[in-house]
Order: sequence, then C-alpha cells, then structure tokens
Amino acid sequence: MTAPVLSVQGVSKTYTQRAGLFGRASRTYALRDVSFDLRAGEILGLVGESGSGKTTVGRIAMRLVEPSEGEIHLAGQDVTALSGAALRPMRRRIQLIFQDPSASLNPRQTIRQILRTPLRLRGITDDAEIVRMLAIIGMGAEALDRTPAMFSGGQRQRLSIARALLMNPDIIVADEAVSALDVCVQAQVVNLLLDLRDQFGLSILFIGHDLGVVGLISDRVGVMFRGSLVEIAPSRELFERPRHPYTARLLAAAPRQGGKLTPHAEVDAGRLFPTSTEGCAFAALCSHAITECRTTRPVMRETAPDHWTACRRADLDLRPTHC
Amino acid sequence: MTLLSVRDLGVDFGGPLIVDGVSFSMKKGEIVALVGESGSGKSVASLALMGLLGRGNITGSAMLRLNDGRETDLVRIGPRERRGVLGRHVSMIFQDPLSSLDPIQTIGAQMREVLSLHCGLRGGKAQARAIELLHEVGIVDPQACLKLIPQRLSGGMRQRVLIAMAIAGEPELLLADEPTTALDVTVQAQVLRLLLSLRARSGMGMIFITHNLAVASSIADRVIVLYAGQVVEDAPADAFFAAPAMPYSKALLGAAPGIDSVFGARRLPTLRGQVPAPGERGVGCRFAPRCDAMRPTPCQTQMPDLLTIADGENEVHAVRCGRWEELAR
Repeated sequence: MTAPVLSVQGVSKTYTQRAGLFGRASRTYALRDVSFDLRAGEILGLVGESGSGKTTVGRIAMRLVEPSEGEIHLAGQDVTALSGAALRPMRRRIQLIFQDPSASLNPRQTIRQILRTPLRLRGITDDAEIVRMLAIIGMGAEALDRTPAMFSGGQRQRLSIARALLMNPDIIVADEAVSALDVCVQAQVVNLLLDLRDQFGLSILFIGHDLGVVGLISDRVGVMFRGSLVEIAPSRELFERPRHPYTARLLAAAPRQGGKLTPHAEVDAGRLFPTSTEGCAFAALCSHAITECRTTRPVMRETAPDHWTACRRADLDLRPTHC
Repeated sequence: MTLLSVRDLGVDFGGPLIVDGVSFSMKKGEIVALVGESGSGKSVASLALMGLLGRGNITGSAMLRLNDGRETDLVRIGPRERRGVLGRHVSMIFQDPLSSLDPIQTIGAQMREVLSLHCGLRGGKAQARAIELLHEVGIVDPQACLKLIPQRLSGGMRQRVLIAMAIAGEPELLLADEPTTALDVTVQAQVLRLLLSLRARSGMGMIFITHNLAVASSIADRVIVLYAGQVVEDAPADAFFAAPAMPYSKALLGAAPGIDSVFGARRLPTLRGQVPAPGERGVGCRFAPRCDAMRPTPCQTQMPDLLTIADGENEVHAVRCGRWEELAR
C-alpha cells in the first residue's frame, strides 16, 4: 500500500487558561490525541458538532495552527517542524476551501486578478490555464473581468475551488464548503468536487456538520466529539453499523425526509455537562457508560475491517432502530 | 377552525413583486412549514406579516383570528394596534439567537422587560413567571440562568430563552424563521421537540420557515413550497413526502441527501440554472426554464394557477403545475 498523502499522528492542541491574573493555569484540550490517514485519492469526511475540533484538525493539517503534540506527515515526510521557506512548497500541496466564498474572495479584484495569484506563485504568467480551469468548473472566459459580487453563492464557491486547484494541490481541505449553499446549488458543488477528485486524483478532507452530505460525498467518515476522534469507518459501514454511542446518537438526531419527531422531552436536554479530562469525553452523556469509561480514556481499536472505534463498549449493537 | 388566512399577499420594493400573490390558510394549532431556497420570498413574506419589513409595499390580506374571537388583518393593521398584537398574539423567533438578545443585559432583565410589556407583570410576579417560562422550555436551573448574560449560554440554550420570551404572552401564532439552522443536530432535535410539546400544551399555531426539507418533515403538519415569490405546492406533510406533485418539489427532495440511503462518493441529481431574478421572470411557469418535464405549451405560454388536486377532510393539496395530471400518471 502506498503511503497516505496526509497522516495526522497523535495530534493534540491545548490552550492554557488562567483563572484570573494569579489564578491556577488549567489546560483545555481543543484536540486530544487525534490520529488518522488521508489516503491517496480518497474523500475523508469529518463530522462533529460545534466545538468538536473538526475545523482545528483541518487547520493543523495545513499547519495554520501549531499542534501541541503529535506529528503531521505529508506523503510520508514529517512536516511538523518545518517553517518559513521549507514550509512553502508543502503549503502548495494542500489547499483550503472555506464556507463563505464571499468572504474569501476579494470583492475589489476581478476574477482574472483573483485567479492569477495562485499561478503567479507557480511562476505561470499567461491566462490559458485560468480559462481551462474556468471551463472545468463550468464557466466561460467572460467571467474573467467580473468581480465576485456579480456571481451567485454557488458560482463564487466554484471560483474559490478553481483558485485552490490552480495551485495544483494534492489535497483539498474543504471546511463546511457547501454548508452555506441552497440544496440544489449544494448538490452541484458536491458533484463538482467528486468530478475533480476523479479527474485530478485529488484527496479531499471534507469537514461538515450535515451527516447526509458528508456521508454521500465521502469514502470514509470520521466522527469527532469534544476534541477526540471517536470513530472512523467507511461511509456506509459507519451509517449502517455505528459502533460508538455518540455516532449512534448523532445519526438518531439527524432529521429525515418523511420522518416525524415526537414531542417527548430528552433527559439531558437543557443542561450542560462538564468535560471529563480523565475518562471518555462522552461518558457523562452515554447511557452505556460503565465505571472504567469515566476513569480511563478509551483507545482506538479496529472493531471491524477498516472500522476504528474509541469505545470500550463497541461490542454493543447500536444499529439505528427506526426505519 | 382557521387561525390565519393569507389572501393574495404581495410585497414589492418599488420594482417587481418579491412576494407574488401568496395565499394559504392554517388551522389553530397547526404547524405549517414554509419551504424554499434563498430568494424564494419566504422570509420577506413572514416579515411582511409581522410588519417588520420597514419599507416596501404590501398588498393583500392576512386575517388572524384571536382566541377571544376577534379578527385582525395583519396587513392593514396600524402601528399602534400592531404593538398590541405583536408579542401577545403573534411572536417571532429568528435564526441567530445571539443577535436577538442584548449582549450586556442579563437574561432576567430581558425577560422582565418582555413580561412587563406583554403581560403587565412586574417585580416578584415577573420573576416567578420568568422562572416558570424557562422551566417550560426545558432549562434545568432557571434561577441561575436568569443571572447570566447571553454569552454564557450555548446556542441551544439561547434559542430556548428566546422561545421562552416568544411564548410569554401565550400567542396564538408563532413565526419561526430558520430557528434551528444555526444549531447542532442533537440540539436541533431537542429544540424541535420542545416546539412540538409547546404546541401540544398550548394549541399555538406555528409558521416554520426553513430551507431544510428534512427539518420540515420532522415538525410540520403541512408543507408550503415557495418558488420565485409564489406558492408552488401546498400539501399535508404526509402527502408531500410520499408523493410531491410539483417537479420543483421533487427536485428539492432529490437534491438533499438523506442519511439512510446514499453513501460513499455518490453523485446527486441536480437542477440546472438558478431561480430567476424578480425582473427576469417569463410569462409562463417560473420554474419552466429548469424543469425536465417542461413542454413549450402550456409551460412557457401560460402561468399555471395554484390548483387544488385533492380536497379531503382537512387535507387540501394544491399545486402550481400545468402538467401535474399527466406527470402523476
């Protein structure tokens, strides 16, 4: 097997907080011991709720945020310690697409100016490649002299994808890249990303909170909860046979077309639970938790072929009961 | 019994109609989902009903029947009278709870203001009612919550606080504009359940504006789809999700991936083109340029009416498509 294009190994990110000026310093984990590989040509989805650390993972992978512990390998090379000039060629290989294209495209520049920047960094000066890229994202050369404001949200997101691709990257990190789009436009951009993956052999880290979209686009999906990666498995396997109670809970909460909710209240709604630094982060919310869950952190283990779960009780049958 | 009857609601800002002849009615205690993409007019229509647009010309009528039997037209009502209606008979909650709350006042101060304005409660009575309301929306420790400023609460808790304020006056109608869009899925399910249980307890009707059909399915009794300012389908939720009649509704349902069926690098059916801008609508069906079922006649020549295609007891199903009969076969 070839080396993964991106390998995140035992990465943690901590922030130190002080209670008042002279108070005791305490460490908060934004990420805790996260490990995964992004394989060549793969779309790996990352889901989780706000604060789960999925965005931080994407940023650490790009070295926009420094990890407190752990290593990042790009195509087998350890890039954790690189900086300055040594970091630059690596940055070219991994590009980010943001959620809000109107905030990430300069409103005063024309599309020509916006798309020339990545080419200039590669030392290319003519526009032929820009026009070719516009064709790939389904636009004509007439777009070149317009400004971002003259395009719809979906078109702007295509343009920011084009800008990322002009760097000729191996990896795209798409952080909530389709979340702000209407469903029909979202479907178009999802299809475009799939086409680009096939056409260029890209690997994509697709970060999102919509389980339907992430499950659809991704080959494998990782689930994050409060800074930990709790489960990672091929899409279908994860959705049909979740082995972590948190994954099962997320799937049960996702609204479904044709599904109806009942008004019964949930026991833990409207209450905040403390984050445990000792045991499993999910233990306080988990109906299957046993004493060990609260005292020792579970380790990732392979619970089925290519299916990894960080749960002491992964033997439980958590298959969704509804249909 | 009819709670709200909207007839021929139109909104323009000096140009073409943004909301164009929207008519629907809803029963007491009914939850109606108003569904559409951005630019469909769903938010403008609801803001027009609330009198919160600030500008623009509003035509048509929206008769609201209050619990005491009185009727009031939300379109024609004067500003003074509206102040007596908003908050007490009709309230609204929005997508972003943080921007609807004052960041430097405690939840308690903000709730007391609402209770004083809409219910005439002050002092200890207001405090007691605030605690009762927070309890009702599922906040476990209401006393502690009242002392906090909004920043100290999570998004779900803030939305609960806003719902508590919205139901303080025991309104007959709640307008909820994408109230769960900014929330995580587990919190979203909790807030949707809360809205359902409040409806069951108080018999409050609800207009739930969303772009997410799965969310609409979770909560609504009836689904109304808006496209380019018009109602294009109005159906009981069960009938809508079992057999949508308008090609646009079918496309919307097909474009949103569910979590039960499709996994692993699969392509989605898409719609070509985009919603026509208000000034670029043709004479025919507004969806025709994007519709796979389009025929030059009647689709491009004549605007289809919103036709009632099933009219059982409480079960009106209406669709705006010149070819619905052929397509249903």
